[in-house]
Amino acid sequence: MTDTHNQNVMIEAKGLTKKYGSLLVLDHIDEVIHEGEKVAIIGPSGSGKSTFLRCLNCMEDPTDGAVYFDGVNIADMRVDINKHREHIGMVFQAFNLFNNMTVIENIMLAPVCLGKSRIMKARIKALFSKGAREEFKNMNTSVAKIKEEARERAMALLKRIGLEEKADKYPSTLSGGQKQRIAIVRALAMNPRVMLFDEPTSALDPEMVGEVLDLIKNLADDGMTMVIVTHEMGFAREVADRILFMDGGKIAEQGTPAEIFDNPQNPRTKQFLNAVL
Amino acid sequence: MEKTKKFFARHWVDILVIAALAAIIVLIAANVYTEFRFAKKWDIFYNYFITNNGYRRLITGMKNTAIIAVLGLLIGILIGTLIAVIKVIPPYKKLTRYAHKVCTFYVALFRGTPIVVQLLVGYYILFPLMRLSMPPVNACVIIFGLNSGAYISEIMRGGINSVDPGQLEAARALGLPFSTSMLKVVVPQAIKNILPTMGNEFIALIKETAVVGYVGAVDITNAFQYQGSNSYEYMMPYLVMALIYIVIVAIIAGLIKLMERRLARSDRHA
Repeated sequence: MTDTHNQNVMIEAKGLTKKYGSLLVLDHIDEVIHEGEKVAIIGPSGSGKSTFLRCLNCMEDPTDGAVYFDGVNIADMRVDINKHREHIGMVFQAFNLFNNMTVIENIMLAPVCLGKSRIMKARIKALFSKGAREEFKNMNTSVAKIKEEARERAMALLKRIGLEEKADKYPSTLSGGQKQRIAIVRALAMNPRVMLFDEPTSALDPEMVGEVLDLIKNLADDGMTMVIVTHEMGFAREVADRILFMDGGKIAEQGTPAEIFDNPQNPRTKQFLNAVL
Repeated sequence: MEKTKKFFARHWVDILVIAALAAIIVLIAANVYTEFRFAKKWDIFYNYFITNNGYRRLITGMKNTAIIAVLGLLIGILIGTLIAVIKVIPPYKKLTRYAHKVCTFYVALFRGTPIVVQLLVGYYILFPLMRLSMPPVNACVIIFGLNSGAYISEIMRGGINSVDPGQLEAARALGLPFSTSMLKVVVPQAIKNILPTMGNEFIALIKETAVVGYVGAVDITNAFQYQGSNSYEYMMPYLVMALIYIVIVAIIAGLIKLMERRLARSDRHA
């Protein structure tokens, strides 16, 4: 583990277990992701990398164990998971841009909807208590204002990736690389504190991999905490502070890129790296 | 000349058969015409329909048919979407499981009984029991809405299942609640996928409204039945009635085709 990041815990998995029927996909994983850390997860297919990542924001409900984010166990069914997911951005292999919306609507959807529901909740609260009524008056916000802010932020994000002229286009007209970069800024629009990447370049044509990796690298340089499941070993080596090698639902080995790639200890790691490098 | 000879040489059997059939049809038609006295029947029909203002009832009937079919479809879409969305909620909680059961029962009830039975039970038994008194047309709108809701829920469920699950996942990962994700992302795409099927449902609904006469509502069928029993002459009214339904359905089918083509185009250029 490097010393470049501070030691605040961002996400902590404790005894994380996932079963599909009798198939054990994740086997009691204990792992801590610190603030500012860039963690790459590598491993053969079927080793549980994606499932592990998806358990970190409870897209998959763990069968057993706990996932702490901000000190709250978000694997607990009684926790309002949506409130925590706002702070955990996720990028998928298949981009998953909303096909029925333009690019800018894609980016604005979540900030606007959540802003609206916040206003609605405050308004309902204001009906019942005087203190809340004062608070509601002092909120100094409106749906129009939220929309305007969201649009400005979305345009700024699009400018950052050089796609501002695509704002009013539909996703079906974009290339894979453009779609994935927009999916990344869509997650960024929520100001997430950690980003999860689930094989972000696996569905891309080779010539488009570079532009997406550049954007992710760019984010890493800004100090974003990120967990990346990837098959791009060169990229993992360059960006990550720490590599997790997963095999059979367990973290078989972990260490700095230099340790894992140059001097792997576990025979499975050696075998895997020999096959892919 | 050579070509014509060859044609006859090859097709003389077909020509004979067609000629024989044509002769038979002409004979039957002539017989029917004299037997049924079309001209006289048309006179009776025309006399009643135009001179005695029979068309007024037809206009009311067309209006009611349109009201029942359109409002019924709208109510059906609302109910159907609601049921379909409830049915795709993963059944983790007890409440969800009960909701699933209620929805399944609702669909089984309305798909398992004929619409006429639903109309009769609703209008003559349930609504009076609930102390609701309303004009028959309103009752028909409600029953047809409830009925088409059951059918549309199944169509909509297929539509929702046809949307890539990644869309819902992406929305949920952004922190949007299930209901918002469904409403803003999944259902709009599902509706686009099922629009052609929905058009067929609308056509079916228009044809089904023919039974509203059972509870005393005036629709196209009822208007012509009324005319038939008043003028003691049924053939013309019923033939014209069939023709009117065919024309209406053909027009709507054409509109649906047009819409489909437009949608396909927006898919390509988006």
